[in-house]
Order: sequence, then structure tokens, then C-alpha cells
Amino acid sequence: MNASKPILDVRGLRTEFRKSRKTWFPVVNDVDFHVSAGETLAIVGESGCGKSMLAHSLLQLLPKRISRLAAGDIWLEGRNIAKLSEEQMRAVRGKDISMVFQEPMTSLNPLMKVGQQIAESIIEHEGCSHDEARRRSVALMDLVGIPEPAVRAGQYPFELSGGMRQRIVIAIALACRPKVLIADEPTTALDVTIQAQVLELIDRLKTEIGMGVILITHDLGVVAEWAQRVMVMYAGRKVEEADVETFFSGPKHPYSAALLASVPRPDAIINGGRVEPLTEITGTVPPMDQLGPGCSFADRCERSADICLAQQPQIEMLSNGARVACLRAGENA
Amino acid sequence: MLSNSAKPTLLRKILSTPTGAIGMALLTTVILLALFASVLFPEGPFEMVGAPFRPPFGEYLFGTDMLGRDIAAGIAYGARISLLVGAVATLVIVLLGTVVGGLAGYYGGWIDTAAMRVTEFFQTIPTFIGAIVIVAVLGPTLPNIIGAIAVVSWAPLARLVRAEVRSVKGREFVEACLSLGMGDMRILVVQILPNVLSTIVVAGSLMVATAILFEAGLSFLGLGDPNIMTWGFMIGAGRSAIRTAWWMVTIPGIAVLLTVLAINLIGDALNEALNPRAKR
Amino acid sequence: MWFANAKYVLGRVLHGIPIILAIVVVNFFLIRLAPGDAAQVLAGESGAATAEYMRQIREQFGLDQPLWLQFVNYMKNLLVFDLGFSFRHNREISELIMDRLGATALLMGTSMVLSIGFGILLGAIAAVRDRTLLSHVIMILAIVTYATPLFWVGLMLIIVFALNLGWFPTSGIATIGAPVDGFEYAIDVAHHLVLPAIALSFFYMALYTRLMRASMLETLGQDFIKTARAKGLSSSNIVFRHALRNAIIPVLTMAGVQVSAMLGGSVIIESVFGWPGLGLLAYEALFSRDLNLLLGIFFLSSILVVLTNAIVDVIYTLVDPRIRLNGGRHA
Repeated sequence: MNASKPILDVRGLRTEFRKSRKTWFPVVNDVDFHVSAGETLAIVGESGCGKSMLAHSLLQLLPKRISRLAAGDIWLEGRNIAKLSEEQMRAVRGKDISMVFQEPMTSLNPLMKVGQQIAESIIEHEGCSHDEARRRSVALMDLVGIPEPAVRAGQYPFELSGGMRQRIVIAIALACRPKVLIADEPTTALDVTIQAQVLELIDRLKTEIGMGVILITHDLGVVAEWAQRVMVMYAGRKVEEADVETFFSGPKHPYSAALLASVPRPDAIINGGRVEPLTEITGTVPPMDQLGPGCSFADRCERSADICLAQQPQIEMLSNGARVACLRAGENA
Repeated sequence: MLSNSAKPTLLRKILSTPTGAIGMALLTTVILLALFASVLFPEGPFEMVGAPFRPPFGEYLFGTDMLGRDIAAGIAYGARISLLVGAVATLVIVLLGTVVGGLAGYYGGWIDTAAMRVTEFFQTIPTFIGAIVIVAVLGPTLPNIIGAIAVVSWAPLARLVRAEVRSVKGREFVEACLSLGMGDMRILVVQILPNVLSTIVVAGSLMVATAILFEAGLSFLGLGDPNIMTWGFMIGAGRSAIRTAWWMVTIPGIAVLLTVLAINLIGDALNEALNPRAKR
Repeated sequence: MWFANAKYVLGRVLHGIPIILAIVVVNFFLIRLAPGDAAQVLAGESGAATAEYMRQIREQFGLDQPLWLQFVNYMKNLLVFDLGFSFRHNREISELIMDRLGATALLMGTSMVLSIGFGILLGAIAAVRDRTLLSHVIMILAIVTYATPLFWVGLMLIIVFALNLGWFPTSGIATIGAPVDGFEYAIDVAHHLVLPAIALSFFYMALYTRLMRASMLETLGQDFIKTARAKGLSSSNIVFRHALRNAIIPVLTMAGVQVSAMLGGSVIIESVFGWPGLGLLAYEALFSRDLNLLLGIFFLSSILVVLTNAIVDVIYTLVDPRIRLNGGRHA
């Protein structure tokens, strides 16, 4: 399934937050992953697992005063953008890597016409004339499926529905035909029917533009339908990464298994049509500034042993192709 | 008002912020000055104690005015009036605002409409000119001054209380009380008011500062009670000697400034302690 | 769209009419609340009133007629803007007020522009440079200024800049004996305006600075700012094109509310600086116990507040399209 050479290749990424004047704690810890053109990588996990922090780290959007990229490389087509200055990073944001956020209702400036909000990005990155930018933003609005784009371009966000606003946000993200699109829970705030439309739109444009998509979600149904690969995060670390088929046919990390068991599955392929009772994962994600030396999932894990509390599990490739960070993954469940 | 167990922690919270601690220290000084005015200056603020126009930090700490009155004595006695006016006016404002805002917010309907029309009126009239007119017509006595300040200042508080009461009223526990057959007054006083109290306390504390500024302004314009020494009056009287005796206007002004500053700082600290969400 | 806008503004102005009526009623009864004979109160207590003036007052207020008729007559007079006659000034009150209106408008207008402009600027700087020395200095100055009585600021400015440094005149609107029109006159008035305008704007500048900082910090934390950053916009672009305009809205709202308070402040500042506007007129009326004049000023300044609020509403519609297009204020 893995197509060509990756567009985005992240190695050993570690993002830290300030705890006090001199001490820092990781919110993203030693994460590796890659995305190829035309591919959708889903990043899943409960809220607070670090997936959103990871997305913001890629674009260095976290506030500098309280956070830092402590280690790791972010290779974008052979260029390490982790080392760029803020000024150089600005040229990457919205041009090479774009981001779509969770809240369409608040993601747009309420006092600026939506067409202008799209044009702004084009002007910033391609330095074209205002007329040219305006023409292109109308074309983009047409591309994301907004009826009467020329009229809508002159309207303000409050005049548009939530689904329309999210399409505008996507149009902004696509304005400069980015190589990578990060969609951070793009449909959580939308109605179910609109959700499918928006995801379908992202999927179609992915092929048209030939970009890689990082889809951050906690909805495994969305993952099954739209992603090619899955990466599961827990407490800032990658705990499992696999093809969608491999993943849904039997997640190897106890946390992935628990996530899957806690989701109602209309999808019969997942478990051969057998309906299992829903289970909840007991407990919550531990605060990231209070992690012990061992596996951070150990105290919620049904299969944890003494060794789990003492030793940090490393990512290992299993026979089915999945990469899992669990000391007991090799053993039979 | 606040339960006994909450009191020391609230005070500690206020004192734990630098602004709150500075405010408390300043205000305590002013209160002590007011309390011991007659001990420190038994001759009273109007007594001529020495030569006129003595500069400060010499024989007299703050100098003397054109009639040879001790400015320090005026500051001490003026503190009494400022604090008194601030406290009493605020009490009246809080009472009026809570009753009107509480009833309007709880009952809604025509009571609310009427109350909001009235508050709108009081928020539109130029408050200070309104106070001038009231005091000028009714005469410059202390109760009239306090009344005038309260009458022109209660409306914003009523609006605030109304909004809070409305939001608390929508909560489940109030509906539970209603279904238990509890009376309106009982629900309003026992269930809703305690939830609105922190807002009232914060807004009220800032009212004290505004009332003190108001009183100073009125007595500066000569609308103070002529038998009472106030800071505003001292500044107003010092105007005519501004070319020769700068301290006559400067020192009472600093007294007003520090007192108002102290109350504002405490108000900010109270706000942070009672409404942590409104922080910043 | 233009029509909707005009309709909205007209609605706001009409909204003020019941308030003005209420002020008329209050004015009418306030005089009758005063201790003693209303005619005596109106004439002032200095005893300077002639029998002729007393008769005029009785006639104007119809004090020998039944209360309701008195009220009707009072209203009739106000409708044609007849506020009565000031014996002290020997002129119609409406004329007196109109004469002084310009000076007050100049002072208030300048102070509003100064306080809103600098308040927005300083508040924005304090927010953008949050937790730096600069922002701490701005906020400490704002907190202290916010506690300072207006008249005292005025007197301190006089002591320092007029008496000691001699940079500005101590009082008045123009130099006596100087040319009364043309460019030179404008410069002369501007020179006289500096200190009173600064004194009046000080407190409000502090208020707007505090408000603007809070509003700007809140705006900078909002999602659409993150969208703007993710677009790759520069931080100055984000601050000026995206954050500032959104953050200004609460400041404008507050400025509208503060107009009536500022009018009160101008009474004090005008009497400190001898600035011949409505405030000084009120101060003079106070001293000569010319209550009828005082009530006229109160009435007119209330109308001024209603009108200014309407103007603020117009500005509001220019800044916020949600109001312009929906015809109402949104959160």
C-alpha cells in the first residue's frame, strides 16, 4: 500500500512544555512517522494523548514562551523544517504544510469576508495581485463545493453554515496546493451528514492535488473509511502503527485493542460480523508531567506485568507488519 | 455574609497576590488614620495651628494651608468622610441594585421590562451632572451627597445582578427547589443570592472606589457639607493658592489616589480569588 | 443594505426618546422636591432676584396652576426648546447653552480621540508584549491613573506644565486680545486645549488600556488567530489585520457607555481650566444658585448622551458586519 517516497518524514520528534522556570516535560515523545503523496495517515488516541500537540509541533504553532521542539527532525521533501527559524517557518505554513482545525465556527475571522481570508494566503505566499488572488479564491471555493462562490466570497463567516465554513477553512488550507494537509479533528463539530461530505472532499482533493493527509481523529469509524495507515498515540508516544487492514483485523497494543473495543462498530469486516459488548477503558490518560519510567499505559492495562512499570517499551515490528511499543505484544493475548 | 470558615482563606488569597497585599496595606493605613484622627489631632481639622503657607516636611508633616490649618489633620479627618461615603453609598447601591436586579432577573416579564427601562434611564443620564443637580437642589448635606451618589450609580449593578440571577435561575437545583414547592422569596434569598454573592462583592468593592472619587469631585466643586473637612474640599480650597503652595492641592490628591488605588487593587484581587475564570 | 443600516440607526435614536422624556419628568419634579418655595429655589437664594424675575419664573413654571397643567406647559416649552431665562446671565438659557456647546464638544471630542486612540494602542502593546517589562510598566501606570481624580490630574498638569515650565496657558480657550479667527486663532485654541484635553482623557485612557489589553489577549487566543498563523501570515499582519479590529469592539462599546461619565468629567475639567463650555457654565450656575440653568444643562447633556450613543452605534455598524447585516448586536 505504501506508495512512493514519503513527502513528510518525522524522526524522533520530541516536544516539551515548560513546567517551571528550568524544568520541561515532554508532550510528544520520540515519535517517528511518515506520510506519502496521495496517502492518508490517521493519528488516533483519546483526548490528551498528544496527537494535537504533534500536529501543532509540525508547523511550530505552539507558543514559544511555554513550549519547545526539544529533539528530532521533520523532513519535508529532503529539507529539515524542524531547524527553521520562525521567519523561514512562515513560508512553510499554509504553503507546503496546511492545517484544518476542529472548530469551523470559530476558525474564521468574524470581521473579514471569507473570500479575502482565502486570498490572504495566496497573496502572502505567491505575491500575486489582489485581483488574481480574488479570482483564485473564488475558483477554490468552487473546488471545495461552495455554490455561487463569487457571491459567497463577499460574505462574512456568520452568514455561512458550519459545513460551509469548514469548506472555507479547507479552501484556505488548499489555497497554495500544499504538499501535506494536517486535518485536526476536522469534522468533530459538524453534523454526521456534513462530516461525510467534508471527509469525502478532503479525500478527493488529496488525489487531485497529490498531497499527503494527516488525519487526526478519535473516531475509528472515520479511520476505517478514509485512512490507509493508522498511528495510535498514548501519553505523547506512538504505541502502534499499521496498515488500516492490519490494524482493524487485530490491533496488537493493548491500548489500541481497548480503543477499538470501546467503539460501536457498524462495520462487519472488523470482527467477522461478531457483535461484542462495548467496553470502556477505565481510568484516564495520565498527566504528561507525571509519567513514571515504565509504560505509561501500564496502570490502565489489563495485561501489565511488573516489567511494564519499570521499562519503557520500544517500537518493534511484528510479523504481521504492525509496529508496536509493548513489552508483551509478542506474547499471545 | 461569607461563612466563617471561608473568611480566613479569602483574606489569605487576597494577601497572597502582590496587588492584593499592597491594596490591603494601603487601605489598613487609611482606616487606622481615620480611626485615630481625633487622637492624633485632638484640635480638629479646622483649627489654626500655626503660620499659614508652611511648606511640608518641616514643622508640620504636610504643611499648613492659607489659614494656618494643619494639612495632616485635614488628611486624617478627610479619611473618615471618604471611607464613610464610600462604604455607605456602596451599601445603598448594593441594596438597590440587588433588590431591583434580583427581582427583575428572577421574575422576568413586565417586572423585568420595567426595571430594565429604569436602569437604562439611569445609565443614560450623565451621572456626575445628575449628582450635582440633586445635591444642588436638595442642599449639600452628607446624607444628600451619599444619596445622590447612590441614586446615579446603582443601575449598572442592577443589570449585573439581573444577568447573574437569570443564569443561576436556569440551573437545575433551582428547578428542583421549585418542584419541591419552595416559595419564590425563599429560593431567591436562600438559593440564588449566595451564588450571585461573589459577583456582588467584586462589583461592590469597585463601587466603593467610584463613590470616593464622586464625593471628592462634588466637594471639590464646592458641593460638600461646609461643616465637614474632606479631601475634595481641601483640593478645591487649595486651587486659589496653587501658584504659591503646591502642597495644598497635591497632598490631598495623593490621599484620594492612594485610597482609591488600594480599593481597586483589593477589588482586582477579590475578583481573582472569587471568580478564577475571569482571571487575567 | 444601506437602507437597513439607516433604519437600524433611526431605531436607536428613537429608542432614546422615552429616556429624554423621562429626564424631562425628573427635571420637573426635582425642582418641586427642593425645600421651600419653588420660585425662590429657582431664583436662587442670594436674594438678588427682582420681583420681575420672580414673576417671570412663576409664569414660566405656572406655579399657581394645578400640577398637571404646570407639567403640560413645561413640556410645551421644552418642545420648542424653550428652557427658560437665566436672570444671572440675562439671556435665554437655550442660547447660553448653544453658545457653550462648541467648546465642550471640542474638548470632549479631542479627549475621546486621545483616550480611545492611546488606550487601544497601549492596551494592544501590553497584550502583544505580554509578560515583558514594557507591558508591566504600561499596566502599572494604567492602574495608578485609573485611581486618580480628574481634577487633581488637571491641577498637577497646571502646576508642572503651566506654572513651572510655562509651556501652556493655565486657563481659558484663547489668549485675550489675540486674533479671533483664522489660522492663528486655531493654533491659539489648540495651545489652550492641550492640558484640559490631556487631563480629561487620562482616566479614560487608563480604562481603555486595561480593557483593550484584556480583549486583545482574549482575541489572540482565539481559533481564527491560529488559522491566520497556520496560513503563514507575519505576526504584524496577524495583529493588525486580524486581532486588532476584533479586540476593539468591546472598547468601542465601553466608550459609548462612558460618554455620559465623560460629560461629568468635563464639568470638573472645564472648571479647573476655565474652559468656557457647558461644564464651566454648570459650575457658574452652581455658584450663583441658578438652578433653572443647571437643569437646562442637565437636560441638554442627556440629549447629548443619547445622540452620542447613536453615533457610537453607527461606528459600531462600520466595524462589525454582524450588526450591519442583522440589524442587532451579537455577542
